[in-house]
Amino acid sequence: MALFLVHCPHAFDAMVTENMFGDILSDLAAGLIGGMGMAPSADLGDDYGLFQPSCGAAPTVAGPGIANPIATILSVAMMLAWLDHPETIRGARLIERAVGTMLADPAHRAVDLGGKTSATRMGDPVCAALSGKSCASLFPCFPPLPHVPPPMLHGAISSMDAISAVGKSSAASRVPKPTSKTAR
Amino acid sequence: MVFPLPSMTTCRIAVLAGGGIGPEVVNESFKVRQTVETKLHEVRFTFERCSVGAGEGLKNGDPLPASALERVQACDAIPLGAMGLPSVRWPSGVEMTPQIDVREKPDLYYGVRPIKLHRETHSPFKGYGGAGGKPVDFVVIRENCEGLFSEWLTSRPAGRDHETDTMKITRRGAERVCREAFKLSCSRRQCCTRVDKANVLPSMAVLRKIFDEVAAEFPDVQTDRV
Repeated sequence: MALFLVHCPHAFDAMVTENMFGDILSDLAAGLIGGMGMAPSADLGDDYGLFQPSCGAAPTVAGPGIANPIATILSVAMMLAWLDHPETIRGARLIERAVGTMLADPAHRAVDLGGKTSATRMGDPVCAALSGKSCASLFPCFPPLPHVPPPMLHGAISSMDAISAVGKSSAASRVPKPTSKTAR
Repeated sequence: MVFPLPSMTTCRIAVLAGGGIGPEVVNESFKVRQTVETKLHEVRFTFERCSVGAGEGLKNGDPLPASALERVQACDAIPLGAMGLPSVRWPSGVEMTPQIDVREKPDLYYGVRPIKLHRETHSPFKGYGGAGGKPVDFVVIRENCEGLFSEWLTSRPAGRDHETDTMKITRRGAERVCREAFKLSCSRRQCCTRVDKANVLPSMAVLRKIFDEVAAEFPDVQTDRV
């Protein structure tokens, strides 16, 4: 499988596997798209959902602000999709689109992808894209960019659609919270 | 004239920034979440910040105190930064891994890892992404609570010159993770690939068998075994 992931990663849609195999393959898979800083994740059960970047604590890069927060931002989008309220699902799509817009500008490349944008500046252009402003407006040293239409990547179905579909597997929206949870 | 107030839903979010780069990346995601909240109708978020992680373990001896876990579980969703630190270990030499505890204790049995290439320059390979390139857009669904991690917390006899880990696949565990994978693929391109080593390992043969059983419930999903 590891060989196929390297040779023809475009051939796969969903794959399911055991714990350790999943650990290894998702590391390899993150390497296909720019590393751990680009790979969000959700750990889900019937009652709870935990949303985190795949990167781990990465103590060797902590401190100077060079960590890539894109995976964390996308994992917030996964959280909103999982909450499964029409408005949170819309919020998830807005974030995913804003990240796409922001990444379309090479000026916003993170340090781990060979760029110079520090962690503490990467959230700002995503916010700007969310607000419909040109990302470049935050960076006066760059000429203003034309508005970049959100790239519709690889067909109509986004990862977030997939996650919101997971949310819909339960009968009702995640929120408001079922009272049974508080009784635990 | 009095307009009725629109009904407002409040989501309680437990924020676990954790250690290492956790707080840095969580702060950025927080900005984005705040901005998106201003665009949403009928939904507001409240936050509870909990101190967990290997740093907390160093201070108070437990990286994931029961009280913190209880508070976290009372919330609707849990965004997390990062929790483990390779240098913080239990006396056995094994790293404190509250990131695994926090999956297993609330029974978060499947991990969803979307892998999507946004820019051709992010790929180490030529011909992927961008206008003319091939897409990379798949999801890894990882079983989270058993498999080779099933007995990682079990204490072992001292003085042995070998150590073992057990690969355990239960019917319940395999069924529920396969079912979620099929549900997820239904909303995507309706293809689900099973990854195993069933030609050699009996535990994986069980996973294969159960995958095939669950596949029968989803006749529209194309399956693939690697």
